[in-house]
Amino acid sequence: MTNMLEIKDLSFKYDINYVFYNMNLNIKKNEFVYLIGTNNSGKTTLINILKNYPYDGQIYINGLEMCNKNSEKINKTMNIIDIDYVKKCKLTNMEEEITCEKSSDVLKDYELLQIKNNFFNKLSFLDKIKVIIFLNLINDFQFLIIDEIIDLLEYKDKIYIYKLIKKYQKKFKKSILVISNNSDGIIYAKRIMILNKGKIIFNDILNNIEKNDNIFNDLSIKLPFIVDLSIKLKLYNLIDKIYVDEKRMIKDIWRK
Amino acid sequence: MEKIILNGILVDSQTNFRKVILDINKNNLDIIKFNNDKFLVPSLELYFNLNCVKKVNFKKISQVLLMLGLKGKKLSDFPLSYSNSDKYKLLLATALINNSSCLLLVFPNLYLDDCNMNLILNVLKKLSKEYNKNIYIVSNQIDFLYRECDNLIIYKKNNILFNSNRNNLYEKKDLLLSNGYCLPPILNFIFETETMKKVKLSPTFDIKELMKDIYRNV
Repeated sequence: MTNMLEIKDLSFKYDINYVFYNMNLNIKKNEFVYLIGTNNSGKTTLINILKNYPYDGQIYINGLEMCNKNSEKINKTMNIIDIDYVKKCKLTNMEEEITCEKSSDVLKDYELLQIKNNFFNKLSFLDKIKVIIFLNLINDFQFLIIDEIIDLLEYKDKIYIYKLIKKYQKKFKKSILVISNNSDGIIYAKRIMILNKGKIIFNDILNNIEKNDNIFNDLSIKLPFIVDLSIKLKLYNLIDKIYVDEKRMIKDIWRK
Repeated sequence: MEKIILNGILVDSQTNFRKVILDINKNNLDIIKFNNDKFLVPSLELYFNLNCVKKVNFKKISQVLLMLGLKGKKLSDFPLSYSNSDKYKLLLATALINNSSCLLLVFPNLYLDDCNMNLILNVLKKLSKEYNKNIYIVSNQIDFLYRECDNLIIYKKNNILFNSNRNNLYEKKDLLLSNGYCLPPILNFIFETETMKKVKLSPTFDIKELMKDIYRNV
C-alpha cells in the first residue's frame, strides 16, 4: 500500500450532467502533488466529495475506504484546508502551538515570529492562512489538501509558502495535494496534474512539461516565468534543460 | 513622495485610494467584487437579474454574455448554481450592461483561470481603448499587474511607492525591494543578470522581447 489517496472510477453528476465519469487519481505517500484545475473543471466538486458528498466509485485514504465506519480514522489522517476552514478556524492557544518543540526548526525558516505574539482572531486573513499552513505542516495529519488558499497570498508570500511546503513535506513525511487555478507553484511539486472537464489530462513531472506544452497552450495556462523562459531558450540552444532556479539559469546562459 | 490627483482630489498618504475612487465615481462606478453580489438575486432568473440592473433588450444581454464567454448560459437559469468564475463574469456582465464609465475589478485572478482571465482582459482592453472606459484592477499579484496593466500604483500602508507607467518600474526597484515587495519575475531575472554578469538587458514585460535581448547579449 503506497497510495495516500486512491480514487477509482469516480462518477458524479449534478442532475443529468456528469462532472466526473470513471475518473481515476492517485497520490503516493510522502508525495507533493500540484493539481491545476481550470474553471468548471470539477475541483470544487472533488473537494466536496472528499468532504462528504455522495458519489459512485471507490475512494481510499491511506488504505481506508471512505465510508461512515472509517470516517473517524480518515479525519485524523486527512485535513482539507480551504477558505471555509480558514474562516472557521479558531486558535485560542496559538502562541503555545506555534512554539511547540516540533516547530522550532520550521520557525527558523518562517516569518511567524512577529505574528506569534498576536491573538489569532486579530490577525489579517492572509496571516491566518500562513499560520494555519504552518501548523498543519507540523501537526499529525499525514495528508493535507490545500485548496486555492495560497492563491490569495501576494506573490512573494506565495513562493515563500511553496518553498516551505516542499522542504517540510519531506521532513515530516506528509502527502500534500495543492489545488489551484494557475501554475505558480508547479516548480516546487514532485508531480503536476491538470484537471479539465472532470478528467485528468496531464499527470507528469515538471521536466516533461516541454513535451506536452500544447496541453498548457490549449488551455491558456501560463507557465511560471522561469519554466516558460527555459523552454524558449532551449529552442534557441542557449540552455539544455528546464531550470527552476534563475541564478543557475543565468550562469548557464553566460557560461562561456 | 509621489502624488496622485484624481478628478482634482489629492490622494495623499492619509487617504485610502479605494475610498477616493468610490467617492469620485459614486454614480458612475461598478465594483466587480465577488462577495459583493448585490446585483445577483439567487431567486431571480438570469434574464431578470441582468435586466434589473438597467432596462435593456434581450439582444444587448445576449451580446454581453457572448462577449464574456457565457453564451451557453440560459437566461432562464438561476445564478445560484453557477461556478464562482461564472458568477464573477456575471458581475462583470451587470457592469457592462450598466455602462459605467469606470470599472473597478477586485482580485479578478482569484476566481478566473488564465484562459478566462485572457478573455476578460481582452474585453477590458477593448473597452478602455475604444470606449474610453477607466479600468482599475486591484490585486496583490504584482507579476500579473505588471504584465497586463499600462499604469501601476503600488502602495504600502497608504504610502504611495510607485505611480507611473509600468515601463518605469525597473528604475524604482530599490524602493520596492526596501519596502518588502518583490519584483515581477521577468524584472527580477533582468536584475539578477545585471548583478551577476554585468549584462544589461532592457526592462520589458514581454518574454519574447527578453528572449531577443538575451540572444543579442550572449
